[in-house]
Amino acid sequence: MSEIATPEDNKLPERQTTRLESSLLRLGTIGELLALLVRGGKWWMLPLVLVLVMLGILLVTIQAFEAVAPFIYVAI
Amino acid sequence: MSCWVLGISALYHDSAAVLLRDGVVVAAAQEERFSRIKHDRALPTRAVKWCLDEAGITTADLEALVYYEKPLKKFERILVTLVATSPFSWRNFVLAMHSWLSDKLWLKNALVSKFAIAPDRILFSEHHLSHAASAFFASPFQEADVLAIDGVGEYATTSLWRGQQDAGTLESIAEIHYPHSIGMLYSTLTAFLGFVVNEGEYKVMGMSPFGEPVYLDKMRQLVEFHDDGGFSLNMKYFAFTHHSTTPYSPKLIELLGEPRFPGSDFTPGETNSQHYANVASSLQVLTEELLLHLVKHAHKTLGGKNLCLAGGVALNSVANQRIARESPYENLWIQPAAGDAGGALGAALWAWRSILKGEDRYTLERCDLGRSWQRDEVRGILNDLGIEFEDLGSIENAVQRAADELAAGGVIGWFQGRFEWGPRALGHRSILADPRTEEMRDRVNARIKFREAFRPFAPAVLVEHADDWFDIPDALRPSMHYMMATVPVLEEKRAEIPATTHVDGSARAQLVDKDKQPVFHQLLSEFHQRTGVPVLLNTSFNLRGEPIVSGPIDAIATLLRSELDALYIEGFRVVRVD
Repeated sequence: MSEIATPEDNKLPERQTTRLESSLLRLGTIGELLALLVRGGKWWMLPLVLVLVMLGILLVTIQAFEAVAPFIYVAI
Repeated sequence: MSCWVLGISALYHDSAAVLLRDGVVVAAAQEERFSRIKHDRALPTRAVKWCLDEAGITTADLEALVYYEKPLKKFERILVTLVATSPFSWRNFVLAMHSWLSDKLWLKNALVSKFAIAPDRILFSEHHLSHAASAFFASPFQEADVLAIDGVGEYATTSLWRGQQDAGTLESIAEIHYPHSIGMLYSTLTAFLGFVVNEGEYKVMGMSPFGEPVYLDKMRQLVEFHDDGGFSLNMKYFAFTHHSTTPYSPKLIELLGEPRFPGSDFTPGETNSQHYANVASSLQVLTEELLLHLVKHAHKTLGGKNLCLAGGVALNSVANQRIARESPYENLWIQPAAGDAGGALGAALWAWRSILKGEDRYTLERCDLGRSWQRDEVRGILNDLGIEFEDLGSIENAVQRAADELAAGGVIGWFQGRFEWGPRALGHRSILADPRTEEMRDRVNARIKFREAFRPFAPAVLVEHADDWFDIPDALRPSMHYMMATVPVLEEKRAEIPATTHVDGSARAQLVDKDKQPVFHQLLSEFHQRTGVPVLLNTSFNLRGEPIVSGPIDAIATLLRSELDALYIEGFRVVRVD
C-alpha cells in the first residue's frame, strides 16, 4: 500500500457555516471594531471605517454571489 | 480528562500551530514544513491537521483555539498610520484595504470554518504578549524580566514584561510603539543591502563580520536614545510607513550612498563590497547598542536575575552574545522559534496559564516537536518511488556508517526522528559535513546549498567538549542548545575547524547533549573518535529558497537536486544514481 500522502490527506474537514451564522459573525466583528475605536477615543475614524466595512461586505458579497458581480463591475 | 489547547499564528509570515495537552507541548510545527512554501503565512491548516492527528483528537476536543494577536487592533493601527501618512500612502492604502476587507478582517469566520470550531472556543492573545509568553512560560525560570522586540505587532514594537510562574502571569511594564522599531530599522537596512525583507536579515548578519563599523556615527543619526530607556527612529530616513516597495527614504541614500543592487556580487575585500560590508557592520553594532540600552534599562527598572528574549530581533545571534556578556543579568533564555511562528506557542501557553489557570508548568527542553516517520513508512515510500536504497538495519548501524562517511570527507543529509521546532536544524533534518577544511565550506555553499559564498556555517559540538573549542558565557549555555547565539572559537582551535569559523573567528555553535539528543550525540561522538574533532558542520537540510525538509519525499528530492553524497534516513542509506 502506498505511504505517499496525497493533497487530500492533508486537509482538515471544514465546518459549513450557514449564511446566518456567517453574517452574525461578521456583524460581531464589525461591532467589536467599532467598540474598539470608541473605547480608544478614535471617534474620527468611525465614518472611514464604516465606509470601508461596507466596501468589505460588498467585496465578500461579490465573491459569494456570482450573479451580483457583473452589475458591480459596470457600476465602478 | 485532558485539556487540549491549540495555538496558531498566521497571515503575516511563518504560520505555525502548537498543541498542548494539560500545558505540555505534544506537537509543534510551522506550516511551511507541510506546504513547502517558505515562510508560508496562510492559515496553518496542514500543521493543525498533523497536530490533531498526532494527538488522536479533533477540534471538537479542544478547550480553546488561540490566535496569537488581535487583528482588529492591528487593523486600527494600520488605518491610523495610513491616514497619518496620506496622501503619500495611497498605494499602501489600496493594497492594505484589499487584503483586510476581503480576508483578514473576517478572520473569525475563517477560523470557525477552516478549523470546524465553535466561535466561543476561539481566543485572541496579543502579539507581544504571545512573544513574551513563548519565552517566559517555556523557560526554566520561576521569575524573569521579559523583552519582546520585533518589527511590529498591533502597536508595540518593543515590550517589557515581568513574569511570575506561581501566579501564571505576565505583567506589562512598558511598550514602545510603531513606527519606532528595531525590527523595522534592521529590515530597512536589509532592503538597502539588496536582500529580501524577513528573509535576508540572516545574510546581513553573515555579511557584517566582513566589514568594520566605520559608518556607526552616521548610523546613529537614524535613532535617538532616550533617557527613560526607550528610543525613537528618525523617520526622515525611513519610508516604510507610506511607501509600498522601498522602506528607506532618499535621505538614507544621501547618508549611506546608493543601495546595493539585489543579487549583485559580494566579494569580500573588493571596494564596492567592502562599503556594503561596512554598512552591515555598522548596522549590527547600532542594533547591539539599542538592545543593550533596552536590556540595561529593563534591569534598572525591574532588577531581576533572569532575562527572557523573544520577537524576531531575538534571532540576532550576534547581538545575543553581547547581551549575555555585557548585560547585568545572570541568566538568559531565548525561545528557539523567537519569531512569529513562536507566537503560536506563546498564545497556547498564555491561554493555558493565564486564562484556563492551568497549574502545570512547561519547560522547553528539546526542540524535536515535529512529525516523525517510522522505518516501515520510509521503506514503503522508497519502494513506491522505486528508489534504490541500502537497509543498514538500525539507527546505530547508520550512525557508524555515517561517521565513517563524514570522516572520509562526505557530505550527507541526516534525517532522524521528529523535525525541529524553530528555524534551525539541530540534527534531525540536517546536512552534515567535516568542518576541518575551508574547501568543505565552499563546496557545501556552492554545490549543495547553492548559497552566496560569504555565508558561514554553524558547528554542532559535544557539550562535554564545548569549552575546549569555544568561549561560552554561562548565561548563554541553555540557549546554545538551540543555536541562538554566536560565540568566539578559541583562537588555537580556529585552524582546526575553518569551515565553521567565520571570518571574525566566531561561530553560531550548537551544544549537543546526550540526554536530549542521544542519536545526534552518538554520531558526533563517533566522528570525534575517528578524527579527534568533536565538531560537525551542521546546516539546514534544504536548498536555497526552500523550507527545511519535512518528510522522506522532501529529503529525497533535495538529495537528487544537489551534490549530497548520501542521505541517511531512519537507518536507510540512499545515494543518487546518475
